[in-house]
Amino acid sequence: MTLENKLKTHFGYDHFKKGQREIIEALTLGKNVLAMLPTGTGKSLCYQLPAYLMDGVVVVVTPLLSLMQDQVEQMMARGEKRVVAINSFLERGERASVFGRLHTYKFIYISPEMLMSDFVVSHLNKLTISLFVVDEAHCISQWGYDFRPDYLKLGDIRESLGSPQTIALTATADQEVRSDIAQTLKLNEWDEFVSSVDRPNIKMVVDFVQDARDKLDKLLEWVFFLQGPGIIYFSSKKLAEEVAIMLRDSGLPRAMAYHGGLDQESRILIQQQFIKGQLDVICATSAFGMGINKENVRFVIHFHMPLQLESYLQEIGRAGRDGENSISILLYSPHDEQLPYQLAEGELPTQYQINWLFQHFGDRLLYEWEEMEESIKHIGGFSDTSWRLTKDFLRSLNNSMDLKVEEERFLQYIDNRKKHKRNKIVDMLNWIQSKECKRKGILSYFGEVKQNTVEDCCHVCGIAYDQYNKKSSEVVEVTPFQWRDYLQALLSKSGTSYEK
Amino acid sequence: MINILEHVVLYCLSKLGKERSSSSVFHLLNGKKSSQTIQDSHLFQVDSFFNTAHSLTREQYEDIITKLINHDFIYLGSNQQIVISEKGHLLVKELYSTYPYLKRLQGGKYHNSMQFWERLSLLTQVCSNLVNKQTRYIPVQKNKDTQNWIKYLFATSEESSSNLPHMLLTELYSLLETSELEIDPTVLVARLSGFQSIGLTEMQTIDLLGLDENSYRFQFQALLHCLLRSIEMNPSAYPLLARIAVTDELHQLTASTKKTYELLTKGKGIVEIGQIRRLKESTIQDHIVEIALFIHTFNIDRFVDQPLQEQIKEAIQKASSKQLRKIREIIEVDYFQIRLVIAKCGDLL
Ligand SMILES: [Zn+2]
Repeated sequence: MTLENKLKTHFGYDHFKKGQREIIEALTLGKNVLAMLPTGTGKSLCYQLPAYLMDGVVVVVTPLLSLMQDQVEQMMARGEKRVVAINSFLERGERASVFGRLHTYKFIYISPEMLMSDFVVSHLNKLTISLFVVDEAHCISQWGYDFRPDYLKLGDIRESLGSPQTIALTATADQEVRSDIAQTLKLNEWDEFVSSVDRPNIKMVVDFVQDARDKLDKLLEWVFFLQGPGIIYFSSKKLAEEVAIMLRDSGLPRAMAYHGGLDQESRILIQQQFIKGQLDVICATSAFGMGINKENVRFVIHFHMPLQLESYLQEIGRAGRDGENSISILLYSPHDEQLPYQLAEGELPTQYQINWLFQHFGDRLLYEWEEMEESIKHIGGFSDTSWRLTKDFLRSLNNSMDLKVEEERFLQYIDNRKKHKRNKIVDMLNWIQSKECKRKGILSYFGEVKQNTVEDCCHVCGIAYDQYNKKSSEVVEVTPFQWRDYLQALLSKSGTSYEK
Repeated sequence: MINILEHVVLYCLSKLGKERSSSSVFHLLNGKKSSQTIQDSHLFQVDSFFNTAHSLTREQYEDIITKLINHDFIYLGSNQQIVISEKGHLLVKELYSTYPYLKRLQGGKYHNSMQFWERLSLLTQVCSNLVNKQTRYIPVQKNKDTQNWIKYLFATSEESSSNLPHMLLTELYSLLETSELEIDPTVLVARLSGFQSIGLTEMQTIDLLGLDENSYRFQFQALLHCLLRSIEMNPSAYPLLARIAVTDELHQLTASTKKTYELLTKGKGIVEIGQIRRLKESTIQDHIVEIALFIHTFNIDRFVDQPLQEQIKEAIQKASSKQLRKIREIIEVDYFQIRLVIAKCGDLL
C-alpha cells in the first residue's frame, strides 16, 4: 500500500501538504526527526500516518491540555477509537481503567506532568513504543517562547523508555531552540526538516492609529470592510466581550466573544458555531484557536500587540488554511507596548513575593509547601503562571541545599526570564515600527531570507485591498424561532437546514 | 425594584425563618449537597428551590442580602439574625403571582435536572447526525459520564437505533406541548445542537428571548422540572425520554458517603464503620441521612423502628416550630433519628 493510499483511507485526503511526505518517509526509515512546520500545515498527520505502518503504540507528549483534548476528539471523529488522553483531568476511577487496558490503545496522548510519575512510566514500559512524539517541542528550550520546565526532563524519560524512535515537532523555533531540543531529548542522530515560516497567502498589515478611541473606530471599519469569517484577538477578556456586543449592536449579529471565562458548554458551542459557519466574527483571547481546524478564516486582527513574534505568527496562521488569500491586521497605537510589559511581568513572581516566601516559610518550604499550596498562592498573590513557575522551583529543592543560595539562584533565574521576555517585546515592537517589508522582517527574525516576491505582500510593499472586501453584503433574514420547525429540522430525514 | 432572584432569596429567607442562618439559603439555591441543607429545605418547604441557581456565587449572594437590607425588606435582629420586615412580608406573598412558572420548580425532587439536560442535548445531537448518516462530529457535551451513558443507551436499546431519532422527535413534541402554555419550549429547544446547526449558548438564548439572565435561568430549570414530572407521571407515553430521566442515585452521593454506603450494604453498623473509616460516629450518621435522602430504596428501619417512625412524624406535625430541638421536647429520641425520618419522609410531611 502506498503512502497516498494510507492517506486516503485513514484521513480522507488525496494529497500530502508541503513537507509532510519527506518527514513521513524519514520516519518509516527508522530515523529520529526534528521538524519545524508552520501552523496549519498538518503537523499531527506527520506522526499519525506512520503510526499505521508500525506495530507498536505511539506516545504523544503535548503540554496543552485543551489541544490534547481536541486532537483526541478529532481522531475519534474520523473513526480512530484506539486513542486516549492521559492528563490531570482523568479521574481516579477512570485512571485505573485506562491503565488496565493501556495495551489496547494505538495512540496515547500524555501531558509532561503525568510522565513525571514512575507509576506511569512503568506502565508505558510494558508496551512496545514504536514512536515517541514530542509536540510543541519549543517548550523544551528556555529561550523558546513558551518554556515548560517539565519538558527539560523529557530526555531522561525518553531514555528510561528505552530511547524509542522520536519525532519532535514545533511550529516556530530558531536555530538555537532547535539545537536545544535535540540536545535535551538526547537524540544523537536525527534528520531535521525546517519549512519556511512564510505563508504567502496571508497578507500582513500594521495599521498605525492615534489612540485607543481611534483604534476602536478603525477596528469597526476593518470588520465591516473585510470579507469574513474572521478572528479578532484581544489581551483582555473584558474587551473581547465588549467589542463583541458592540459589533452585534452595530449590525453584525453573528459576532461572539470567546475566552477562558466562559463555561465549557458555551465554549464548545461557540467554537462549533464558528466552524459550521453560523458565526462570522470571533472576538477572542489567545485561548481561542488551538486545535481548531477551520479552513476558510479570511482575516485575523490583533487589537493588542502579541508578546512576541512567535505568537503573532501562530495566531495569524489560523487564517487561510485553504490556501486562499487572507489578510492579517495589527492595530498599533503609541505606547501599546506598555500592556505587554505588564502582562509579561504578571507571568513572573516578583522579587517581593520570592523574599516573602523564603522569609515566611523558611525550612518548611522543603517539606510542607504542598499542603499549604492553596494558601501560599492566595496570600502571596501569585498569578496562575507565576505560581506554576514557583512550584517547579520548589519541587527542585531538597534538604541538602542552602536555602539562601537557592533563593538567590531563583531570583537570578526570574531576572533572566524577565529580560528575555522584555527582549521579545522589543523585537516585536521593532518589527512593528520598522519601515521595511513586514514579511522580510519576520523571515529574517527566523533566520530566513525572503526570496520570492509576493503579491499583496504587506502594507509596505502595497496591497490592493479591494480583493479583501466583503463580496456581497448578504442580508441575513431573521425569521422568528419556531421550536417545532427547529426540532423537525434537527431530527427528521427530510430536514432541510434551518436558519436561526 | 428587585429582580426575580432577589425576590426568591427573600422568599426562602422568610420560610427558613429566624432559626437558620442566612447562608442556608445560599446553600439551598446553590445546591450544596450537605445533609443539613437538604434537611432544612425539606423541613421548611422550600425544597422546590434546591439547586435552582447553581451559578450563584457567594459574593453575588452577599450583594443580594445587602440590597434587601438597603431596601428595608429585611433587617438584622439583635443576634445578627435576619428578620423580614412588614414590607418584606408583603412582597413574599407576591412571588408566585408575579412569576407563575416558579410553581413548576421541584428542585429537591429533580436535583438531577442538569444531568437530564446534558443527556437530552447529547442524545439529540447523536440522533440528528444519525439521521444524516454523519459519523464525524464533535460532541457538544464533554462530560464522560454523559457520553458513556449515551453509548450505554444505544447498546441496550430494544428499538433499532435507526428508530431512535423519530422516537425522540415525537416524544419531544408531545412532551414540550404539556408545558407550552406556561413556559416557551424555545427556552430549551434553541440550545439543542444537531447535524448542520449548532445550538445557542445560554447567553445567546437569553438574547433571543429578550429575557434577563435570572428569569431565563429559573424558566429553564422550571421547564426541566416540568418535563421530568410529566415523564414521571406517564412514563409509558415517553419510553425513550423515560430512560434518559432515570437517575443513577449512587451518583448523587458525595464520595465519602458512597464509601459509607458500601460498608452499610455489607451489613456493617455505625460504630464499626466509624472505626474502619476512622471517622466520628456523628459523621457516619450524617452520611446515613444523606443516603436516606438520595437512595429511595434505602430502608431506615434498622435505625428507627416503624412505630417510632410514626411517632416522630406525629411529633413533627405537632411541633409549633420547625427546629429539631422543639420536636425533641415533644418526643424523647435522638436527633439522628428525627433527621432520618425527615430525610426519608420529608415529601410527605
Ligand atoms: Zn512586503
